Amino acid sequence: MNKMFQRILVPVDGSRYMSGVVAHAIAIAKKTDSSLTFLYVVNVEPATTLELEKQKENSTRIPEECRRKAAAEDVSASSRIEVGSPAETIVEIAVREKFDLIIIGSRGYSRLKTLFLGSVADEVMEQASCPVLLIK
Amino acid sequence: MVEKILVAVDGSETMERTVRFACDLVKVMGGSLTLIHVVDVPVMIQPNLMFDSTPLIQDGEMILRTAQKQVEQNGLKADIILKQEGGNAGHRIVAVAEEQGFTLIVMHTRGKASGILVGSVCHTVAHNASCSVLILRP
Repeated sequence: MNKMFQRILVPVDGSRYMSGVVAHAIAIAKKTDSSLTFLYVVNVEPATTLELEKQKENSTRIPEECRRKAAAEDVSASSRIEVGSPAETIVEIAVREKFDLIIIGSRGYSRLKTLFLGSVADEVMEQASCPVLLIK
Repeated sequence: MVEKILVAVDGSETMERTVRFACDLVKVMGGSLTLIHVVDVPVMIQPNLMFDSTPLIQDGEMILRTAQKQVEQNGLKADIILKQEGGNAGHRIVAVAEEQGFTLIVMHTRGKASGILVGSVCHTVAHNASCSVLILRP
């Protein structure tokens, strides 16, 4: 069978919803023989300096942890850090580098509690030109 | 992770791709398929005006049968669900997903002419579903 997906972009943010997203991504990559790119976007406009520090710390740790988790299951994966507005950056990379699926948690790291869909996921869903899998 | 998949079909030109995608997904990932079509019954401004929704329901049945046949041609099986809703079909899709314990909703966004922005049904489902949602593009 032809491959359903080849390259999957998985934005990760260290929120408590992330592990489910990573598990789904690994399972899908395994079955479809595709590769994963775990992307952490350091938000250029953090609310506080403390938040920026936390993001910097997260950015060096989280995508790499995800990559190792995938590698441990024999899934080809890479980790990567970008700086910018999260949703815009995710969409832009997906388009520019021709990812064929974005797997994203519907709720992320935010103090605002949107019922079922976070703002980054919402914007990615609205703007992406490839399929988007929202993990609830 | 075997998914119980609900595929929203609308009879548009993108339906075939949606169904094909869902079939490929099940072949690779496992899981079951159910096709849903929501008949958009106009909300009456004057309630005493009777609206005969029979033709719409017949259309809906036809859409579901076409999609089901396509699933069968892929060597798979699919259940079908036909619902009526006055207003946004998305709410009905979310309700069915919840009532019947679906784990994934697959749908195509019809979007605007640019083919980028998400349509209102898709939007409603993405915002309100408590299960995962896979959104395909035109």
